Amino acid sequence: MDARARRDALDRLIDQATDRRVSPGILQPAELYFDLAGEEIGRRLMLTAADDGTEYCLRPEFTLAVAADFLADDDATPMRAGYLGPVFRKRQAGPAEFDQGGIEILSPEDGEAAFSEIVAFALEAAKIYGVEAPRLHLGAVDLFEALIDRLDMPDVWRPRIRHRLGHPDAMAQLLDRLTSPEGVSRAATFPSQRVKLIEVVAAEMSAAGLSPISGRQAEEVADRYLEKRALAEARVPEETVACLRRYLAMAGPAAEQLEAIGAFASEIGIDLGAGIDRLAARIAAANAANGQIGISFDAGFSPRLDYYTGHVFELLAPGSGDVLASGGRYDRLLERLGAPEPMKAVGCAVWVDRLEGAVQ
Amino acid sequence: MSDVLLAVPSKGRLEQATRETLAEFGLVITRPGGDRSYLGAIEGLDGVTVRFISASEIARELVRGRIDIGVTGLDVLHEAAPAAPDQVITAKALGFGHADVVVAAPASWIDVETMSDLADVASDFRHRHGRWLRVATKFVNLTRRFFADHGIAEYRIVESLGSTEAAPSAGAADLIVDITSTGSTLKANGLRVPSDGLILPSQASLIVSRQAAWDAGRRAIVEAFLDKVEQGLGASVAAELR
Repeated sequence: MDARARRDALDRLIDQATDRRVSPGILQPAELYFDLAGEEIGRRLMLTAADDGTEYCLRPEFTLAVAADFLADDDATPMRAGYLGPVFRKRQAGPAEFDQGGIEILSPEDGEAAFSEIVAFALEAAKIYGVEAPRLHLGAVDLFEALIDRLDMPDVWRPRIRHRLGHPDAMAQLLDRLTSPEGVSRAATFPSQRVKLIEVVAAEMSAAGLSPISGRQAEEVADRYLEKRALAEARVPEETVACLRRYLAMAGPAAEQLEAIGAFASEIGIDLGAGIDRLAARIAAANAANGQIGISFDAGFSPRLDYYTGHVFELLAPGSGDVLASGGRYDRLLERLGAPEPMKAVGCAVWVDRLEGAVQ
Repeated sequence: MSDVLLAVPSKGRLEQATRETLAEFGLVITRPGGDRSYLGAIEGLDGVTVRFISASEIARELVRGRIDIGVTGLDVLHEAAPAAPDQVITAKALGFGHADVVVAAPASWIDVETMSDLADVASDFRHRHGRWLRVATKFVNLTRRFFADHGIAEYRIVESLGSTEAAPSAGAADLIVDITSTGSTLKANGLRVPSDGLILPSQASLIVSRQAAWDAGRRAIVEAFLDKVEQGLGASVAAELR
């Protein structure tokens, strides 16, 4: 089989796995990506502008455009969408244009079964390129969210910790700060009483001509100031930070890690709920689907995008460790795009050039 | 073998300071075509053509390798391309054109003393206000790198090409990244730099392009040129040009 025949086979596989083919335009409104992912993704976009100043980017991936189209469609029934085509990103190495193929399953009845479908799809795609035994690398956003919900700490830290999942450096910096909060250095300068403090901040804001209607308000600044002062007194317990560090360091063969997480949870007396069962079922399902693959789990592994909600995965080439496919469960994406509530969604994309590179 | 192209700022204070500083090294720029010509030479040093172009263009052309040596600010260089610092060698800081690129937030944000505070504010911001924290700046590359180093991902850049310091009071952004020399403009606009908010202490520098077409002859000319600036500098820079 030559490269062309392999691509055709991938094309057929995508058709078999889906009920419709989508091809969002190559030119996409840049705002959509900036809005959802901020500067971290924005810096990778190939940007251009129309005569009227509207900013566009070359399609950097398919998921967002597929999800946005799904929501715009009035009779959006459960949908299995497939795609194959070029995407464009600024990268440190490799060409800025490369092919991605993949599937997005939006609003399925059973999210866990849909996840199994996308893993099976990724494994089949790898097989077309001669990769019979890739490594399945798993992460579990739901487990981490359950853990930070239940650990003993002031509530303000929970979302901040969640936002840093998938960004080991930022997470390490934050965990260091939790054990030694900075406090405030100018405590004597400001009143402690909330009402008076708000007056002080509001006066300073109006003196600087800051708009009283947009951005941070005086109450917000004053409250965070008082919160910082309080946090310096009531620190995050050392055990909590130690638990977070221990959990995030868990990485290795999935079956072992699953056992370790179970032991860890009962040792610290925290019930991680259904998350552990879901992970156990996921590992069993992957084993049943393909006995040849190695499965690893990394507690700190996640895309740094807060719309991921459940399991996430990468398929890695044996030897090189190249990421051949990646995907996950992202129930919060459709909500972000305007759906009234979270909706089940999973998706996965394969990197055609890397698969081609894996051909012996 | 083509001449080595030296680009110097084409006008104003920067041109004057460049001429004076290079002259102190014994590198006197002549403009045989008169003041309105954009080409010049170095007295007593053959094989060097001097071009007078704007500082931001110098940075861009250095990155592309279309000029060989240039005098420009480090702040401008970083903005020419995200990978610009790797594509050039900063041979010598020239001691003028000092400016600090800094983060500045409203002074009324009394809870923000460090970049870690900004990381928390950014993390909470979207949930609270339904939009990203906005940073006005023309220093897009420096901002992205610095914010990433401080673990800040939840923000958006609003490009601002002038009067950036007014962006927060105009409601166009929540904070800014800009250059400051004395800090008085920031203060007058009710802005304050977090204690670790210095991104880059910038000054005019002599910068050599790695991307230019280097051969033995052209390397020798650059070596001779740089040795006038500082004994031994030529050899150490030339060794990196391949």
